[in-house]
Amino acid sequence: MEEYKDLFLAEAHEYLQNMTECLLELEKDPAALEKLTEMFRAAHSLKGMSGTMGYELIMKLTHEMESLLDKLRSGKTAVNTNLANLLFETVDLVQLMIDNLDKLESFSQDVATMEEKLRRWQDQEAAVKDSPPPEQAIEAGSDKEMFITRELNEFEKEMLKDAAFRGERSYFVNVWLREGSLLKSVRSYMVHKVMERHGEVIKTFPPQQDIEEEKFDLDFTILLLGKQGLDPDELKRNIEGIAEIERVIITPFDRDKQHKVASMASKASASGGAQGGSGKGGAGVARAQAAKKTMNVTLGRTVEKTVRVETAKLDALVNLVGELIINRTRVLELGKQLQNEMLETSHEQLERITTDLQGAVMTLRMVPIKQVFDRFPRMVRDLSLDGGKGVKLIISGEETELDRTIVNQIGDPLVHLLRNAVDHGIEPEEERKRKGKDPVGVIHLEAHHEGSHVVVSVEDDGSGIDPDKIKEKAIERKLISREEAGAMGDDEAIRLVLQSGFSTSAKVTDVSGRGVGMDVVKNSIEALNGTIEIKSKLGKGSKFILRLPLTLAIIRTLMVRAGEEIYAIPIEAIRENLFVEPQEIKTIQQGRVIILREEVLPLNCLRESLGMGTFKEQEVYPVVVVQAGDRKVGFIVDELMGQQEVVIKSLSSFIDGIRGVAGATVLGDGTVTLILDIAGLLEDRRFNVGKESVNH
Amino acid sequence: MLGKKVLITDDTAFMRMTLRNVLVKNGYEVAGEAEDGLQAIEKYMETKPDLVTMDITMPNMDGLTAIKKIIEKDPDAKIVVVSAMGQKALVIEALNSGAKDFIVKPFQPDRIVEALGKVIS
Repeated sequence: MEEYKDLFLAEAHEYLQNMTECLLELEKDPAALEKLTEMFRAAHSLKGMSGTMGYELIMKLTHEMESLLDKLRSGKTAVNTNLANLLFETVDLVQLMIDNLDKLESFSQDVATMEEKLRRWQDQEAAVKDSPPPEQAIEAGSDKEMFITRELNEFEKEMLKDAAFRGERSYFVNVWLREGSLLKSVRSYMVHKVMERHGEVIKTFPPQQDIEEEKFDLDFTILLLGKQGLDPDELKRNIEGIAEIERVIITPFDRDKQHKVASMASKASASGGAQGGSGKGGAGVARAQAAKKTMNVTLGRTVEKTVRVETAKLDALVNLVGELIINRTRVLELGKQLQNEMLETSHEQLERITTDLQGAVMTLRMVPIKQVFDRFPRMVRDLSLDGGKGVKLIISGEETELDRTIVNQIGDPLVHLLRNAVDHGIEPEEERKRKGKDPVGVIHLEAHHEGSHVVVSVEDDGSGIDPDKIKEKAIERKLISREEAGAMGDDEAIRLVLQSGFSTSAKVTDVSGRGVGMDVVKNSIEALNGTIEIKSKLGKGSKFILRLPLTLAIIRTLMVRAGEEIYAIPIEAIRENLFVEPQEIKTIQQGRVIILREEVLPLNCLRESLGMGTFKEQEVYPVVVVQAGDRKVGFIVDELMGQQEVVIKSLSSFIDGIRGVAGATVLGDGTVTLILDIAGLLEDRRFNVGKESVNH
Repeated sequence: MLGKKVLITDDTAFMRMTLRNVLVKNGYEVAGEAEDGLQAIEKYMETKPDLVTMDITMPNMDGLTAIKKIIEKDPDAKIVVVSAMGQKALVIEALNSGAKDFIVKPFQPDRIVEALGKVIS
């Protein structure tokens, strides 16, 4: 028989692969009977082949599989996730045995367990065969429910969990419109309004935007987080009270989850605790959902492709890596002093490994910005309805990943920018028509990577910002003098909207009425070590560009000495380093400048700017050219000390919020050094920086 | 439904007639007919109907304004918008102004009856 072994192996693999493919198809389309038949045939062939080869265990297992498939073929039970899981497990076990033909006997226990499970399904199948499938109507909506469940982001899951804790229940509301309904989007809008009286709409399928654009047939499903004490029957009656609503089916979200957890848990315990038990309720749910997601998205074989880890643990890990990097620097410096070649080689290795480690840890913290973007289509829709304007939101680059902490904090500034764009950017319909624009305004929300940055921009095709009006307002608000205004370029004038005490809104809306200004946006972006840039064309629209670091924890810096102090300047802010000779420096309006590649570059003495000393004549000046947004300035320092990776430690709240300082770090020798915040430094007038940069 | 009074508002005689026929056939009583928003407000105050059907595009005063004015005078007024296709934004505004539901022209009689029936109960 041995000579047939290769043939057997080749063919067996083919059959197993075939079964896997069929299973995947079946999961997508449980009604695909021909796939069941195909699987049945494959199992049957495998049984025969392994019997001929004398692999009794494989024969027994494939026999049970064949029997189950045969019953399914004529039965009524559709292939659901649980059943698919079981069949996948069986296929896996057969595969494993075929890969280990020389120690087949060791699988006898596994085969017995699996046979038992397959048989139990067969009994079940026999039992349900004659009774009608329960709650068939709910089954119809369950695809959408499953889709919504899968698409829930962390934030929404948390929200639902919290709500459940407070006793607020969530429901899937499946709504069918009557055949031939017109203005379906308005119908769904009415449903939405009823929903909002009863709770908060978390997610819909199809997505909100599609519903609004009538990209659905007749039915849609909404996941509603109900208000305390919501009566689903009343909700149902209220929705059915709307004309042209054919049918409403409400299923509790919790029950749905519990059901899934229960089935997952029983599966886990049945397979000898292979999945380590279901744990606490919440974790079990999360696992069930994660597992489900993997099931459906990937090939469904490896249920546990992802592991869920508490964010606190990730943070702890990042902190530890931070400490490691500080200490690496310290050890490197000591090594340099010893001048031992062997030591240096191993240091190099250490450096490589820690850098890789750092990179790996950082990617653990990355999440797609989609989490934040997802709630905006709905928000913009509501705002545009409130404002009586037609606004279309186009989102791109939502898969862009960045640090979790930044994702968590970028939401509010973006909400603000989007609200501004709808409230003040996009003109009322009439005005747009008069200007010959499309009556529907467009807002682009976009994210992409740029080097070690993430750039997020909000662009509208509205009225744009009028620099002259801004200047007037700023003078009125005593933010600048008339002379300053006269010398100010358009770009700089537009940046005035970012100053505190400035609000461009002529009209007070819900939002603007709350007194939140653009300065809050700017401050929160800068708190993330980011910058904000405004591009605006009068009559054409405005673009707000946020540039954010990929991560907050560890950054590369250039260490410089100014006077007695050492400062760290984030590499991202630095454009180049120069050595400038005294005769190159010119004076314009009492400010020092140099001509750099036919461009006037304002020059500041870092010591002077920070108030740590005065400018001293030298033979040659080391200069660090930095840029924040579109502003470029050179800083004269006393010494360039080289690049270093530093871990940002925030300052205590006691001295927090100092403009120009992003944080502190500990150097290799244990001294504490301030990390400069270039954007803050260039912005703050007290620092007297770059006042010549008006028309550079 | 029997004996519920409906005020029909539409600027075309044809639509008014169609609506009247459907309503009467289904046991409603027609309280009156209005050809524009102004008339609608006037007749509403006069006849205090249980229900109003309201066209949107009409001369003198459009349906939206009329809805707002009627709701202002009687917050419990039950108004059903009768709109044409493609008036999405207007219908939404009407609903936000207090209209209870809407039907889209050209309509099937049973749809009107259903919508009115749902609003009245």
